[in-house]
Amino acid sequence: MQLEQLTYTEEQIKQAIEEAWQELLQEADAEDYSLEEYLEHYRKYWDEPDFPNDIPEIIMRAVEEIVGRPLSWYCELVRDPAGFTGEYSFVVVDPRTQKCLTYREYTSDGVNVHRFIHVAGTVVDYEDIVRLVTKLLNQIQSALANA
Amino acid sequence: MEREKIIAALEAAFAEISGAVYEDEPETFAEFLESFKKFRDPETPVYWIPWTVEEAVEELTGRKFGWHEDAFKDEWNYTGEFGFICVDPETLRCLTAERTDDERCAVSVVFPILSIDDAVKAVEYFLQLVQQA
Repeated sequence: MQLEQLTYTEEQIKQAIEEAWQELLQEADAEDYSLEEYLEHYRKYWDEPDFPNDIPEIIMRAVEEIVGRPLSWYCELVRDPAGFTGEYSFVVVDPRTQKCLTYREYTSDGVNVHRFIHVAGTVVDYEDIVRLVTKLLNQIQSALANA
Repeated sequence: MEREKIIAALEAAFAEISGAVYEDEPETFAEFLESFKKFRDPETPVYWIPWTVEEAVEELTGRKFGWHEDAFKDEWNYTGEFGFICVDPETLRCLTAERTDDERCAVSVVFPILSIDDAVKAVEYFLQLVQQA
């Protein structure tokens, strides 16, 4: 599938998330356990320094699976003084053109332009992952439509 | 570009961002960085540092860019390293992208900023990127 012909359903997104999860398990040579089980641990230990936070990989592998090719990306785990907030901030770049696919701007008062190059979302449960993958795909689609 | 001009742009940007512009005895950016380096206080408004660099770059180039910045933290505290991503809004090109060996590219650059010299180096790097673009 080409970026220019990006189409997807919720079912495909869920399948892509599951495939991404299985891939990560295989790569880690880990025993078979479900993403739901992982998310239970994640909710308890997400701010522990040694906790392997696989959420950004799961999300971007699912996005890439639907897009059909590798993308370049950066993910910030958003922190406040108390620690990790559960929010992830993604910047996605098309490696072929080096164009930012998550850039958007708007004016709130017709004068000042606000520029954002990231897409952010909080992940606590499985549905949040689905929502964030969908949000990223929508933004990528919109960037391509306006290119 | 002369170092003095970059430092002046950094100080002006910092005064605006920190609100020092409204104070009688404002803290300079150089002093703020010194204090950050010494105490690495987790309550420091650490994002003032990358915002100051970005604002100075925009002032010196006369252009606006899309930015993303990340203040790196270890188990306890801020490390003094900052990740930056810069996008040109006119072309949507990620100016900090750099092709790697595989099919992807790296999208961010990282600078340690613990002194005014470090901040000047970061500004110089971005000015060069804008010039090349």
